[in-house]
Amino acid sequence: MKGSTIKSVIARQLMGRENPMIGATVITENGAVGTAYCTAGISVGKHEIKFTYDGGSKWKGLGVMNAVNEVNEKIAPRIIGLDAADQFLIDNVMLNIGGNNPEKAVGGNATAAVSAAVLKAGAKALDIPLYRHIGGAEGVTLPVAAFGAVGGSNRYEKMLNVGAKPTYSFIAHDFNSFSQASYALWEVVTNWQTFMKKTYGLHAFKSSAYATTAGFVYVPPGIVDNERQLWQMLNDTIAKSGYEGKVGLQVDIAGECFYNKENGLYENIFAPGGVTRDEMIETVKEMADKYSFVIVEDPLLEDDFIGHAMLTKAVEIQIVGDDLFTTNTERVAEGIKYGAANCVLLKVNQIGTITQSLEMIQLAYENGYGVMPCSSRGEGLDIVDYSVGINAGTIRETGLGTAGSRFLAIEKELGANAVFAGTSGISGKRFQKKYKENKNE
Amino acid sequence: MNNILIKSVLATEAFSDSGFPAVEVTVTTQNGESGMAYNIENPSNSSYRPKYLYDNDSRFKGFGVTKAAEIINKYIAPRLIGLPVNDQAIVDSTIKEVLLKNDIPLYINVTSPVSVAVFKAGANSKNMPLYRYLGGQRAFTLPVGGHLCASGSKRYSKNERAKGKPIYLMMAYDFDSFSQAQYALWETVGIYEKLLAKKYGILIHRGFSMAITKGKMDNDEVLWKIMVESIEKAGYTGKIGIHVDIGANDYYNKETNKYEGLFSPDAKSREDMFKLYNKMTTEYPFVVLQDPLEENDLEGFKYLRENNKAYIVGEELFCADVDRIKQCISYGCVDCVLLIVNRFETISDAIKIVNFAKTYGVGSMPKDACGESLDMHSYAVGLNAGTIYERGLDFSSNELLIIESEIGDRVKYSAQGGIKKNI
Repeated sequence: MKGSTIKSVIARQLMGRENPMIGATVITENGAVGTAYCTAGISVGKHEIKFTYDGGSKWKGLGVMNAVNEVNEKIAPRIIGLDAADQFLIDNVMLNIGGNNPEKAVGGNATAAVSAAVLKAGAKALDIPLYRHIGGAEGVTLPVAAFGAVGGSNRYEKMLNVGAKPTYSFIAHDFNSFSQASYALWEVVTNWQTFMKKTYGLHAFKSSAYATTAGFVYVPPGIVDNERQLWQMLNDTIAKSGYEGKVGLQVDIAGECFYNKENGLYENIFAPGGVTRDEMIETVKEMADKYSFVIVEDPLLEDDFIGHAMLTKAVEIQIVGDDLFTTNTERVAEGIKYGAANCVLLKVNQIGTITQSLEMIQLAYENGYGVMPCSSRGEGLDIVDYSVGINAGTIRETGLGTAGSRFLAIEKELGANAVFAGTSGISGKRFQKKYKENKNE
Repeated sequence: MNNILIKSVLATEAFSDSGFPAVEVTVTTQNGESGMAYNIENPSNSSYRPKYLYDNDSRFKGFGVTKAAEIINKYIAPRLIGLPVNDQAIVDSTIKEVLLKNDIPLYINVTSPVSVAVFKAGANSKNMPLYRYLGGQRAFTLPVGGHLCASGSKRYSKNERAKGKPIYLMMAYDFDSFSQAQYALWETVGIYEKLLAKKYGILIHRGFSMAITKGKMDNDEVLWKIMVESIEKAGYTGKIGIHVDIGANDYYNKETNKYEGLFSPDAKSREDMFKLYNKMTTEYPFVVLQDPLEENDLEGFKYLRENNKAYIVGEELFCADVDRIKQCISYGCVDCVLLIVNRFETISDAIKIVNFAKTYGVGSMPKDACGESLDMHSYAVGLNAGTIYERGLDFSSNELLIIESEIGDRVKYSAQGGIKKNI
């Protein structure tokens, strides 16, 4: 029997950011342990896969004991005895439970937690780092370094369903290595936080081992009259830190949340009042040209493929689809037809299994799209290894803190083979041009 | 017993979640296991702040830690390699001996990360969970944890020192198990957040920012009322209480001898504070008061411990100064010591303090502040601490839920006993 053969599978109900989530632990014959979690997002896109919930009144119906039972009763007996290093086989076994009857299938939260736990146990059983288990000898790319700058919504009108959007982040890209980029990022972030603390008494949300995506300073209403003032402040901080053109900005808009169906306008996002789709596109263009924005996420309605295509063509920076694609292969294929966005946000655990995630990534790459990992579905610190394993050029806010240290450790481990994505790691024609220019020099 | 020996000790500078660089130490053992620890300062305004070594050059605004890492690699590592990884006493005394011999002060960010990394490697070398390695068969109690409900220092003054305090946490203490307590907290906190948003127009984002800024309320009593209302609405009156981390030292003005801008705009004398604390524990469900007075008022701490119903916790009162902690405990100042494990010279020193406190009937409350991160949960269970700072709800509680299910039927929730006064 191989050491990497699965010996046991345990599932538990645990706590996600706000509601219960499922955790799965897989143990192999040679004692390797892999634990992974799967949680729903705060805002759940309507195209996301189906999770199993308990219903009823406890936990407002969001308990996941039924999903836990699915793992213990349906998944565990089928995968115990299989090889944890054979991800494809195990994922297929899980996906085929229930055959063609969707009623008998298991929830996406159950499969996602087990699938990721199998991946981690497999890596440990083989005694190789997780990123190498994912990407083999090819997984050697360190992404541009990013960290949160601003969060908090409702600056212009009280709207209850917008989470903390829009969020802004710093992206350190024009450097020779991840260590250089992350150090510059540290300077910019520290200067920004000091400025916000001294000027407005506002503090940043700190990262931790379980919340790697962090750094946002929550800016309440009353600080700025419109977002342009905020963009200028962010730009000034970059300039004062001496990194103009080397450190850029990202915004995650979640346009859908601000859309008013009745008048067809996007309301109270960047300033009081509503704007049309065309005006949104103009605004994003302004952000890319006048301010240092290099990445824009979910600028428009999540079903507006045409609008996203127009924007991507007009702006030529990285346009990321999160709610647009929901890490769903069919949605990505649909978007590609239109040329909507040029990068897919990857929530590894959102799609159901690791195998499906890898297929989606492949589809994106084959069509010239980038893939940007994000740890909001329970991936935690593992997102760093996923990023390197799939050679992602950009990743959500993980350039500092514990996650940043993991990147530094991988950079050291890869040594001369480490590749830093740099500016050309950002999708969008503008940055690809820059790469070519540099090559000619 | 065959000794498992230390194979390597490697220190490096790494990023930390606090903003400034951490000393990261990785220890490997000859049976192929390893342990990793981070150490950061998280500077306190306390006069009892321990010593740290920084590079003081242009990098990281002077807070680089390459010198600390170098001392570990150059002086300590060669002496630890080959020692038995499970003999923490020898390891910890060797660390100190090496530094003393080379005339290097016992900087916390040199000694502690090595000690903790060896400890974790030791647990892994025996394939034991950290709480079991620390507490043996006695480790079976789950601590009472809290959930952060509000923070913010500048509601009533431009306080630059207070770092977000007072911090309010709801604590579910009268339940049979950690999971039940967590469910009650989850229900109550959900109601509380809705009340804040809908009734009072205060928007907060769980796990994002809980700061309540200037102009939202005339004094903190408004906030206490909202908390009480939420607890009542959820049906947990008498079962869920409030822990407040006050950090009064940072509001104390030596010249006027008054506490300024704390809880309300008016300045308060020591007697005013006693009265207010009495009100908080009789009219409101405050069950834990942390650092209620300035750090030199030992008499005041003693008075509160003897006369106030709440569990009195000290942090800035003594930071991690071992002699000062012992002095305060023996003088009867506190019911509980806030335990930041990575602020002690070695893990053995932290354990010694917990045991010293126990002999006086004084508890300890582990907190993640200096790089302990997920290990903190194991410290709480391993030391049968009774309470833990935060960790009642959200992602951070999962380590405790996992430990709860690992221990199985034998598990015991500290409940009321966790915050019981032993005078």
